[in-house]
Amino acid sequence: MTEDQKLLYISHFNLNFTSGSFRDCYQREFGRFPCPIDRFGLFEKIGIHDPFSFKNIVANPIYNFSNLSNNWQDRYVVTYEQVATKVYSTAGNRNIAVMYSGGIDSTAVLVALMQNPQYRDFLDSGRFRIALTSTSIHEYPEFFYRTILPNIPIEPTDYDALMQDDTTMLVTGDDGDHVIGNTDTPEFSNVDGYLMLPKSEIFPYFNNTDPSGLLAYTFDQLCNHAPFDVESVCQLYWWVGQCLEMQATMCRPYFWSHTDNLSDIATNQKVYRFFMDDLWNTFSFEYMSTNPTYNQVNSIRDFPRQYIVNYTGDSSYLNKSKVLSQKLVYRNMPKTRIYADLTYRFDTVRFNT
Amino acid sequence: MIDQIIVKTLVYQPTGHVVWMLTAAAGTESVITYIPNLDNTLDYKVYVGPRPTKFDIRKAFVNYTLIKDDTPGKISTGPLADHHLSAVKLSRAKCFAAQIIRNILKFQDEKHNTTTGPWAIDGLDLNIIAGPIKRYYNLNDVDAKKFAKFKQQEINLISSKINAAKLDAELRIMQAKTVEELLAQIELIKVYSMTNSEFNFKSLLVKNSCI
Repeated sequence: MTEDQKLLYISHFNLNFTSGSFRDCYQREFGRFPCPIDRFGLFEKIGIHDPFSFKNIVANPIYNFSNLSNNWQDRYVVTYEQVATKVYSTAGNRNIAVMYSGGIDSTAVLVALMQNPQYRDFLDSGRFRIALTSTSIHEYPEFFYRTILPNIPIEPTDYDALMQDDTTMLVTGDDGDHVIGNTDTPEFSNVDGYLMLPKSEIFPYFNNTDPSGLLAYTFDQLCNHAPFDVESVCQLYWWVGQCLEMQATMCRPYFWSHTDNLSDIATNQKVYRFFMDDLWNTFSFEYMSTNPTYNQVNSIRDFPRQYIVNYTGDSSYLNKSKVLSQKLVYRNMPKTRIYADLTYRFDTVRFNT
Repeated sequence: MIDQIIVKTLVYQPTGHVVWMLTAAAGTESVITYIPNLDNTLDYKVYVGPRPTKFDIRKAFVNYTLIKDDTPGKISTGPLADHHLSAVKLSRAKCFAAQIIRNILKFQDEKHNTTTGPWAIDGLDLNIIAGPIKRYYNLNDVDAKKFAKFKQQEINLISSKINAAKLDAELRIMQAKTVEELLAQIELIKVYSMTNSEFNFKSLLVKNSCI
């Protein structure tokens, strides 16, 4: 395999797992959808064999742990504003299509874009629209019927058409749930505030999921390479997400469509992943370094929920639970492997890993 | 009638041997049946009559001796020449593949109610269908029609995507030159359809003497 032939992404649907391998253990804990990709090149350092040679395309975070903010929620709001401005400037003369799943992240993205001074220009000139499905409505119907339907053009989600339309830039809320904590964190304990338990408290849970101890070993070793001391369960799962989960999400629109043009896959030019912007990366690393207090998984969405409520005034939204609305959308997967030289292959090769 | 059977067959034209069949007690079969004749090169013939007593239809089918010719009410057996065997085996494998893939993709039609829901009607009148939407969601005329149009576009899009996937699957099956190529295409279609089915197509082909 040449340098260029390194994989960027591979679908888990096409894989067989060697019993007891890291990916086998990982799948048992996280399910079949995410394909863990070693963002920081840590596998080799901690002795995990990775037969795939994935090439990382997720940007390196830039952070400074000195002189950190005292008011994170304010900074959180300002980051929305700054990234929304970057979205409009990146779109330039192109149209914007917001990929709206109805979940907290895509709703927050939409709110940020709607509050930006450039929104009205884009909307009035017919360059702002929302791509959604019926399932996108059910998660927050009030927002759809009161805010979206009367004001913004809508169309059914069609990644194929949008990815092949050079006049349109997609905006997604992908990986919003990795900015603070990680919504995949298991509820492994009945202790109130279990997310703030010392990270070692979760290792018996891992050892139950994976009696070989490989999962616990890997996560423990990854923590040794974190940019700050990982103390809590919340920080541990956030760091695991940062290390392994971002790239698969990043590639989604490219393997959910037949597009041949992969040239912008590593950038935000064609698909602006709002929460993968450098500014969010910085916020995420700096905020999580403070080991912020969260009691349970639902509460780690407090910041985005509050951001949405500040716009809608609908305080009942603060108690809303996360719904996996994206999973309900019909789509197929035309590409199963994407390479670093931007070729792709849809095939039946099955790897052991 | 109860002693009668119906045998729907796809027949290899040069010899009349049955490539694919479906049997049922006469009168009990579904009115609309999917016949996996992808490129129309096989003859579609139907036998209705008493169950043969001199041979076992199923066994004759599996060992490639079952023949359905043009004579109504007649189904018989006879040897298949060796030089036709591989072509008939491949055709049979393709028929099974077409049926299996159709059932896999039918799951998506069912999930999305693309043929059974209130939006799945050609020429749906937006003014009429917007009525309940307007009342139920307390919308004005403009928003109700906008929503109705979206729903109609959505069901058309999903339906078209699923039909495109069906066509893609049929074309992949048709283009296979060998059973091995066909098996590879089936695996590909399974991935493409996101079913990740554990169904072992190869074992079905072995059971029906295609391999």
